[in-house]
Amino acid sequence: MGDDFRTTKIIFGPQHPGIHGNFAFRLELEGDIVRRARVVPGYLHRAFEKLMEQRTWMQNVALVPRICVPDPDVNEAAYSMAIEEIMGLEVPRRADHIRTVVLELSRIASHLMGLGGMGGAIGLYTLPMWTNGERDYILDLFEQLTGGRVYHIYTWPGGVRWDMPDNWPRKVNKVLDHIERQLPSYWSLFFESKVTDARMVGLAPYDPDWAIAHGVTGPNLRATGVKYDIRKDDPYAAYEDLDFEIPTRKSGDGMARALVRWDEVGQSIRIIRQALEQMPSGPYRAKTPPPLAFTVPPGDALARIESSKGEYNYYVVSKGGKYPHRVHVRGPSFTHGIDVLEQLLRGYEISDTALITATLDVCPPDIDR
Amino acid sequence: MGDVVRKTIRPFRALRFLGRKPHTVRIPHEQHNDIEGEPLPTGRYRGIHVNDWDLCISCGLCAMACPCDAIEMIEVEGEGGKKRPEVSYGRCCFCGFCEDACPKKCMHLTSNHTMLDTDPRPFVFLPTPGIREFEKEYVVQTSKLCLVEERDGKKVVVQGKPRPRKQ
Repeated sequence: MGDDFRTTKIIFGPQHPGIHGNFAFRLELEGDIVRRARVVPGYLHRAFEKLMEQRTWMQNVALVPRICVPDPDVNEAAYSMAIEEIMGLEVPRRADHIRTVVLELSRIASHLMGLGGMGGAIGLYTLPMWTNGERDYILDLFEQLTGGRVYHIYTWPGGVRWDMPDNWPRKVNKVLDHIERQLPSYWSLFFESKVTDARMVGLAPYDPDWAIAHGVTGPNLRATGVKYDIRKDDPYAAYEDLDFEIPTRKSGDGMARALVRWDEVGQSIRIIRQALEQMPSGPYRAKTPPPLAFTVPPGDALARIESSKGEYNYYVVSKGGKYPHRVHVRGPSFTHGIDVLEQLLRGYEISDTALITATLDVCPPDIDR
Repeated sequence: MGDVVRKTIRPFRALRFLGRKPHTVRIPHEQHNDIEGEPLPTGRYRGIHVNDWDLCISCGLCAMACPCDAIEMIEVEGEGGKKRPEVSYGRCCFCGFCEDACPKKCMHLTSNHTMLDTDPRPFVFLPTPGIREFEKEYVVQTSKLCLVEERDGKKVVVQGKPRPRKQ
C-alpha cells in the first residue's frame, strides 16, 4: 500500500508468466490502472563489455551471441564487421550472401517468436504454439549449417566459419515455402480476431517525433511511418544487391508494431530467396591470421546493423595486440525496455503490461548486457 | 445470408488439424528429423568431445583456444609423460574452437549431446575415441567415460579405458 492508502505497489516478474524474459516491473496501481512503472533490470547482468576485454579477438565470437538470445546472429555479424573495418579486410561476396541468409533467417525466427509472445499476452495460446513450431524448422536449418541451434558462433571476422552444405539451399527454400503456406492461418487466427482488435488497436501509441527523441529504432520506429532501416540507409553484407521494401505503418500503436513485424517476415522470405539465387561461388572466408595468433592493428570502428528489435551498434577500439581495448554495444532493447516502456505503461491497465512489453519486442539479456 | 453460412462453416475448418502430426518429438522414443525427413543432428553438430590419443601430440592448443577455460592439459599415468586434454562440461560452451585449433584434427565434437548422471564427477572427463561407441545412442553412459583422479600427487585413471582402442 502507498502512503495515501489509494495506491498499491506490486512487483510484476521476473517469474510472472506474462513477463518477457528475466526482468521485472515495480508497478504503482490505482485499482487496475498503472500510475507509475519502474523497470527492475539486472537479473541477467554478465558484464559482457568487460569480459570482452579479457578474451582474445576470436574467443569473443563465442561470447557476443549471448547478448540477444532470440536473434543472436546480429551480434556476431556486427562484431565481425567492426573488426574487418579496422583490419581493412575484404569479405568475399559469397560470405556476404551467406551472412545475409543467416541474418534474415534469424529475423524470421525472432519475429515468429515475438508474434507468438503477443498472442500469448492476449490469451491466444494457439499462436505461440504454432509460431514456435515453425521457428523450430529454422533452428533445424541453423543446426545443419552451423552446428548449433541457438548460439551459432558462425559469422566471424573475415567471413563465415564453414561453407553451406550442398543440400542446404534446397532445405531453406522448402522451409520458406512451408512458412508461407502457414502464414494465412496465422493471419486469420491473430489479426482477424476480435480480441486482437479490441486489445491492440490504439494501444500505447506514440508519434515519430517522440519516438526519435527517445531513441526508438527498428520496427517500433517504422510503425510510426518513419522509413528508416540500416539495410537500406547504410547497407552491409549483401543487402545492396537485393531488392526488398521497408514496411511501415502510420499509427504507431500496438497493432501497427505487430503489422510491421508481420510484413517484415514476408520481406525476409523475399530477401533469402534472392540471396540464395544470386549466391556467388568462390571462397567463403578471407585470408586471416590463425585464431590463436589473431591480432588487430590499432584503430577504432563502428558497425551498425538492423536487427529484428532495432539498431545494433558495435564500437570496437583496438590498441594492437591480442585483446580488444574496448568494445561498446548499443542494443535497441536498452531504450525500448527501460525509458520507453516506463512512459508507455502509465495509464494502462495491469493486464496490458505484458502486451505492451510484447509489442515493443523487448529482449532482457540486451538490457542488462 | 452468405455471411451467416460462412460464419457457421468457419469453426469446422479446425477439423483439418485433427489429421496432422504433432510438432512435438518424443525424444528419445522418436527420431528428430528435418523438413525433408533426414535425421538430426548431422555431423556438423557440436556436442561432446572425442580425442584420438594415437594422433594427439599434446600441444595444448585446444586449451589455449578455449574461451571458457574448460580444457585442462593433465599428465596421465601410463602415457609416458604426455599431457592429454580434460574437458569440464560445467564450463564448455560447445563453440568448437578447440576443434578448429587442433593441428592434427584429433579433437572432434561429436553429435552426442546428452549426459545424465547423479554423480557430478563424470562431467569432467578425458575425451577418448571410446565416446564414438555411443554415437547411435541418445544418452552417453557416463559410467564408461574416462575419469582421472589425483592420488599421491599423480593423475591416475580410475574409470573407463585408460588407452583408447585403435580404429
